[in-house]
Amino acid sequence: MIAEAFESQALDPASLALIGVARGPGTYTGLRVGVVTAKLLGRATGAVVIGVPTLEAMAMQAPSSAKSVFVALHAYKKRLLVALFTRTPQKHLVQTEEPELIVAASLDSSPKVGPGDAVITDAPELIPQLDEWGAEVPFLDTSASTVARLARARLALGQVDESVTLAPSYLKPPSVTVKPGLVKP
Amino acid sequence: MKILAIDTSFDDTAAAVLDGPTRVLSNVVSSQWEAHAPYGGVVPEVASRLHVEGIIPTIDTALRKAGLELHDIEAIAVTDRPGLLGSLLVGLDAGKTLSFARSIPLICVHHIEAHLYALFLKRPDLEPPLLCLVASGGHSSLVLLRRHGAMSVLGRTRDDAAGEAFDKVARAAGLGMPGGPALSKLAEKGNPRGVEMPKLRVGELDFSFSGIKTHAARLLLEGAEPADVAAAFQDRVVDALVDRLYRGAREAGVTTIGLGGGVAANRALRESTSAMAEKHGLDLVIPDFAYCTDNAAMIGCLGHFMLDAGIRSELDADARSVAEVGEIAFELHH
Repeated sequence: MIAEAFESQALDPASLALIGVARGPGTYTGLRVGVVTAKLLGRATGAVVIGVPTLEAMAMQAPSSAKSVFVALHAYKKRLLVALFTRTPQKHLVQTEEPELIVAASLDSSPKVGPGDAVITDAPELIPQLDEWGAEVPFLDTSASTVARLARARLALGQVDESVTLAPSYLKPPSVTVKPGLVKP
Repeated sequence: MKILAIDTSFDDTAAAVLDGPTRVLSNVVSSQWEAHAPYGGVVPEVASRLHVEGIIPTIDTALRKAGLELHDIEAIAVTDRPGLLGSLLVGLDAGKTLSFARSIPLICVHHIEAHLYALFLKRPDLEPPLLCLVASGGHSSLVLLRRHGAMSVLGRTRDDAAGEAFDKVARAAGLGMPGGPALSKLAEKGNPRGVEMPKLRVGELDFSFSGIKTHAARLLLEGAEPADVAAAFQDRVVDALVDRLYRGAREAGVTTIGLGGGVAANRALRESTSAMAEKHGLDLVIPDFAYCTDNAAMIGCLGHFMLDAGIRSELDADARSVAEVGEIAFELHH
């Protein structure tokens, strides 16, 4: 797919200057494939590599009129990773609360957002309060061009990553079930 | 041709640089043992994460030790099968990306087939046909190389791999990781006739280690002397491996045999196989230890032979956790 993208634009990988990659949270294997590709592409071409947090990429999809943006990413087992972004007077979206992992059912109805704001989520079915809040719920676009735009914005702020150390944002440490020893015969 | 080889099939991140099929310029293995030891076994998700962290440093170390830069590399060889899927994907993806970014050929390699090809790293002038016993923590197979590019499995384990059985008995004996070598060390102090231990079923080319493993564990639970159990267990496993290797060679009509995989480091197996080879007039090849255990040099070796035969892999190549030996046949034209 990447090769096709280059071919369609008649571009040479060596001409790359910036590589943006969604670093998660998300599915572990999926993130790893993307991040490893970005790392090695960066190592081979010398291009700058920037890992874009999924929550930021989601928040960026809110309409520019939205004052606050509530982002809710489906994590696992009806849990949501949520974060609140607020628009500054300069019109930039800034994350105002650290992302928090919550059980979807514990989302209270006292809204963090209301009319004039936006909610970006990949799991509207887990948030029955959506209608009550009255915020706009735009269609979620998961295209790579969003990641590219955000990577460029981070580059302007000097937020670059090292291709050697870039790794996915994992939501949890590896879940390990310690194998029992031999079962007593 | 200068080739960069990558293997992340299990718990080690490995990279190597070769110039030609058997000239190894560097061979780097970054072990993950310490991270897995607390769990008493390899945890796939832990392995995948460590491969992501280790992949570029391992490749860079291999290039540095070879005295080369990435732009000197003319082809990429990478393991795509068999192994832990999440681990394989990291190396395969790295290999594909380097192949694309540098516009150089990519060749995907079968891990077990490469263990056999490690014999050529020891003896570049070796000529097929030959039969190799590949025994490790993940595999136990008798692999026949009829001629270059024509491989098949004559026998395989029906349950545990040999190294896996060693590790499990070691765990039952309360030994730390890695269990296999620890059990062999303990066996040196024991009497193989000190306890009753059944012989493995003889008569075919397949292996089965599950019964003897359970028997050993039962003896340990009953309070038998651990050193004796270890010695008797090792004795029977080695007997079975050597027996199958000999029978396989006789059935296939080959006079060159080899050992590969981590279990080839086992001294009792090496000695017993040497004695058998001498007795029957067979030429035995055992690669250096670094090329018996998981490594990328062997991937580069087989990869080079395949590239010479005109085989190339595509950028949409996918990793597979299970795969037969001998799927991709090739022919060398000299």
